[in-house]
Amino acid sequence: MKIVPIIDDPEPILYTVLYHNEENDEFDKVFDEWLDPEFLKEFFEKNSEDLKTYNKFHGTNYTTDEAEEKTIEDAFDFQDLLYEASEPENESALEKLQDLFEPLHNYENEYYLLQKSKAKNSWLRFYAIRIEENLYVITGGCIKLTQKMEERTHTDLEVKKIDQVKRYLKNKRLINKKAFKELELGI
Amino acid sequence: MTNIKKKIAEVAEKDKSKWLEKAKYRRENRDWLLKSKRIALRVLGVLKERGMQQKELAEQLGVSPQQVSKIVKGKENLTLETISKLEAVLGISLFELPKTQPTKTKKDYKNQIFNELYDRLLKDVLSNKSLKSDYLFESYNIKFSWEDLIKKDTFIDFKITDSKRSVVKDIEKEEWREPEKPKSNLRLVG
Repeated sequence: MKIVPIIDDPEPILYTVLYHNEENDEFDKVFDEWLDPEFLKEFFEKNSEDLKTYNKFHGTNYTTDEAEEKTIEDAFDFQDLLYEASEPENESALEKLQDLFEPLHNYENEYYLLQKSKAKNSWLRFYAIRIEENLYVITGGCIKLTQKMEERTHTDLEVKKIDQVKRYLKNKRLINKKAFKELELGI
Repeated sequence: MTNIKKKIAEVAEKDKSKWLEKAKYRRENRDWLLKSKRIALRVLGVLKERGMQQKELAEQLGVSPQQVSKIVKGKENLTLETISKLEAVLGISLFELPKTQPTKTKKDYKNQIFNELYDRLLKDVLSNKSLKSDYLFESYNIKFSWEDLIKKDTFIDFKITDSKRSVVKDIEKEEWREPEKPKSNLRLVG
């Protein structure tokens, strides 16, 4: 696994990972998928029942065709948000990034070290590890139509990726000494 | 910069994610890329419905399978020729231009004003003054539009009674708000 910078100017704030034997890093790959009509056709056909459940839960009425178009438009908007945060002259970049991510688990209402995090726009999700304030490593992303990540293979895979990256960062000691001790002691 | 940020910068790759360059391109070309992707989704949908392979589409279009592959990725800046070919081969419409609306002329404008005014006054007279429409038409005789008036260069006579005079005065008042209107076209006959 390699750590790849996304936004590191004027200082590092956002990284992603390049898994072994993969050509593209996770951040790049996820955007390519969300903007790929062939991928989306296949995805929403395969998960049409989940889309119905999503509609029922959220009071929406998306057909698979509409869902495909919506995903592309939402992905463009998500991209713009992140791109603007990446511009060095953008003084509010840090603030924006911090606002973008939230704890993965909805019941968590405070930040801590190596916390599993997520950024979302509608059903689009990025998953990340929060190393410290304004420093995140994106582990992957997906289209999430179900309530629980463990319910579907593609979302469950994301859970495993987050855990894998967390272990990697811990092994590389990419946390400060105090945090490392806390982690070792299970605090 | 915090220690941890320094440390991660040392461990990380030097080359940035390819995403940044791609995102820049996508932002600059967003409008046509969105259209291209919508066309791709439509084409893929039709192929699926008909059980048609991309290879068959390529043959019918007279292009290479690689070209079709690019089209269905929604990354191609399609020419009108390619779009038209796709429409012809698949028998579908991929995009339509709205029909041109004729530009409003001064005459149209006057016509519109007159009709609006006429409708309003007619409604007002009928509701407030309890006049029957037949009587109104007969006595007011203002069924012509400005277009007719200008074209025919005719005069309209308003045969009014005292009870209707105020309504006609309203018409007069409105008339003066529209300077292009030829004054000679209206003549009040009391």
